[in-house]
Amino acid sequence: MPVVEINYNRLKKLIGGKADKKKIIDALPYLGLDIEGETNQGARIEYSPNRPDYSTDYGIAIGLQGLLGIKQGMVNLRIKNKENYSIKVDSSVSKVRPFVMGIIAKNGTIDDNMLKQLISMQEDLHFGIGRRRKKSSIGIHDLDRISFPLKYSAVTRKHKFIPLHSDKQTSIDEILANSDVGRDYRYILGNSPKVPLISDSENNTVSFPPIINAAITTVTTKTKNLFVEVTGITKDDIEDVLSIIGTILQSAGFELHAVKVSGAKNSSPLFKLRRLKIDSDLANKTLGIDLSPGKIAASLKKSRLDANIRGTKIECVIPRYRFDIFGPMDLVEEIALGYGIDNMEPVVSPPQTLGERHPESILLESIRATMTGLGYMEGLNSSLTSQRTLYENSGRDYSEMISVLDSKSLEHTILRDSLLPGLVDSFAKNIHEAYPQKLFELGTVFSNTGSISEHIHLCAASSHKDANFSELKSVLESVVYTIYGKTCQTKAALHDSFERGRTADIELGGKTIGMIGEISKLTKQSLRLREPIAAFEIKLPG
Amino acid sequence: MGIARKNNWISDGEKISLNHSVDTLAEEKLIKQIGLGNIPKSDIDDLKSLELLKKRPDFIIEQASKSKTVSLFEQTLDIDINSADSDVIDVEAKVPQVFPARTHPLNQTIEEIREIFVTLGFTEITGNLSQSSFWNFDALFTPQDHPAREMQDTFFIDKIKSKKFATAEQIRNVSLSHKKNWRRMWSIDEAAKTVLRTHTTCVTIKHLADKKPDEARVFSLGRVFRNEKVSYKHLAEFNQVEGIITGKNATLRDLMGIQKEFYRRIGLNKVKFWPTFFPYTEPSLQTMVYNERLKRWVELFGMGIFRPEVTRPLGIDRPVLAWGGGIERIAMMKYGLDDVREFYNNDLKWLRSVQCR
Repeated sequence: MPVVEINYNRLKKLIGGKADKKKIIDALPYLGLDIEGETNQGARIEYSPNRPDYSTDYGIAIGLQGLLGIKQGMVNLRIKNKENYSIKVDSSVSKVRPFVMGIIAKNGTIDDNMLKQLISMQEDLHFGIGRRRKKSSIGIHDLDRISFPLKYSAVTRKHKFIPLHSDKQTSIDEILANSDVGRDYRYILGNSPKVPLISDSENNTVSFPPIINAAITTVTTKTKNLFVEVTGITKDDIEDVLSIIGTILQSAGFELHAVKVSGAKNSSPLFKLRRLKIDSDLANKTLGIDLSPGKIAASLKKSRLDANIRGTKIECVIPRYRFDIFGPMDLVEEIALGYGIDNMEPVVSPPQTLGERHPESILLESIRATMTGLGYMEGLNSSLTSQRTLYENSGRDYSEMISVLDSKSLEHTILRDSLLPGLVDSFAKNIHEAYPQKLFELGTVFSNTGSISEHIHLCAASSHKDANFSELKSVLESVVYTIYGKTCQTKAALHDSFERGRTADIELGGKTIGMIGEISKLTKQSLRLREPIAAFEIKLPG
Repeated sequence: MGIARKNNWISDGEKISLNHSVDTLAEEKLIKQIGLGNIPKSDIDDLKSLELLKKRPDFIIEQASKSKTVSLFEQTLDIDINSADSDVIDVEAKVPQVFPARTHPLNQTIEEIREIFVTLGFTEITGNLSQSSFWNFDALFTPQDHPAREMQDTFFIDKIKSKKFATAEQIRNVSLSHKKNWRRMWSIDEAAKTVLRTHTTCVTIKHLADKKPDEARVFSLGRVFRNEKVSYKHLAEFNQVEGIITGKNATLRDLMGIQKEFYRRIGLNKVKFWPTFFPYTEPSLQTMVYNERLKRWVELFGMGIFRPEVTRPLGIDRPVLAWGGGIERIAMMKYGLDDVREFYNNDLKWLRSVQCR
């Protein structure tokens, strides 16, 4: 989950009213925000990926104002349209990164804290809804270094400009090959011979999306006026992102101005409000409460939406940046949050249904009782394990192994096809404990039959100085009889895990259901086991 | 000779002979006293001779030894052994240690949870650990470009694709819901990728989609997988339980109520609910439970009502309350563990000594 850093004093000022630190701390979880850790004068706050508007303390302040009753209703975007800012899009970008939108934010002040919030928001939006800049990427610039109108077009990889944090002219090719951002995000551009570029009316490069800005437009604490551009694959995606940035910058005290976009199927952002009707009945029935339409409308306003009563229905007005709201059920949640989760008393109603266990659970529980009765301790191992445990320790054949892609842990890369290797591994971890040691495990094993087949197996193993085939065969016969009601046979066979001449297939009614034997010298050596181990593994019915 | 002469043992002349009635030497007496065995030093009176002998090589070996003695209590002396029970044993003596064979503590917790669900009227359902992305993600309204569907979070099975995982109607309706709400392409190839299930919800949603019950309480319990770095807090493979209630009058307050009742039964009485987010439920809540040992609130089960975007394409028209979470976290509280990996270490020292609860 993404994280935003807040400072309580700063947040208090942003919220206004009489919010103190304690009230803020108590209210945060009821916005769905988790306090992940304390910092010097604030906290690190985890927010849900569906609420990118909480990626700055400005967004969190808007939410808290509602919940604490300081401000209610929707935040309206006020965008001036008088000045002539525009971007012309050339069709050359259509194949590589087709869409761009922008907004101007004027007469604000940028201090260190504001800059930090801005950068952290940009990173979160890039990573989350931007899907690592693929769907959308953001450039924030000093407006006063740019002369409009701008041009968005594709240029060759030989094009040169001075990129951010640099002082020398560098070609696109060099940026993509030598810089961290270049290497991290060049995958988005693929093999396209031409790459997207925003340049101004004096032909200065402004930005090379989605990789890096030009150095000339760098934003500092001296910057007063901003130009923000978002590029991406669909118009909806980039307008989503721009609506959040616009709302945040307006909250930060900037005056917003529109940027006209045209050419190659591009258009200007409209930041259209949505209207969605909800029946009070749906809210009350879903939540199990009984609120009047007036109360419901008030709850929606506390969640920073607008609401008008139309009979038993409520018409809700949703600002553009709340694109997490799909339909009426999302409004039900907004009503619950506005009303207060704490105000809803849990109810326990008697069940109308009779419960029962799955037959498989009943069987497994019964086998557990049998195995402990026979003196075997239950062990547990991962079903996703390693090649070393499964195959290398015993020299088993691994041609049919099922692996997962890109595991973060070397210990968890292969799905087990047998319980025995894991259980034998457990003996190696317990060589300092008193003998005799007897273990069993019940668990799922996997096999590749074109698709994946799953079966539940039972494995039992005994280790002490006299452990041998016959001891385990006695246990096997006893347990197989209690499971199947029939006696099994052992037929001489070869198994990699077991010593030659001391291993057999387990047969029941003419079918092989498992294997039994004494653990091979090779396995004992590779695991440095001192005492002999005898073991069996069988497939359970079903 | 000098010594012999001085002691008057021999008569001196041309020939030498021993005088009669020569006194036995003191040292000789001591040698005789010691004999072939050994005697306590305290028995020797002639300490002067002992010192003389000790100065000569190869005569005296002096050894220190410790000893323990046993004796009867004074009262015991009065007991008439002949009249007492002749089978008397030492009931206070030490005996060899034996160890219990038992089911795994984690499975005991799982069994306890299963029992609670059944007594609350829930029927158990099961499903495979490997699943198609369709049931693990698509049917649960997780968009195909969602970060959870990248390899850094989820275990995708190499090469093996899922086949015949859903009916044609289910696939068509789910794909339409995705295209409409997520405004992008939907690919059947993406849905056919096999994953190790990231939650048990894939089992419950398939059950609901196939059976479409009017009123039901079902639960599913078992292993789930996350591609995470293993640590004292996180495992790549762990157990999860999930309960579902469907019925025309099911409400969010019922969902909170069943949670509270569940926690009460496992001995957790301080519970509160906070809003949260899951892609497939709306509204969504999480339970916070007060951990007496750690003296702080900890996050436990998540819950919510399945989104209409999940239920409608699958033909489910009643509200579905869903809740669940990891079992290891509950077992850790129960057994006072701080490292979740201990459940899978098969450490006999722990397994043999863990307290009954």
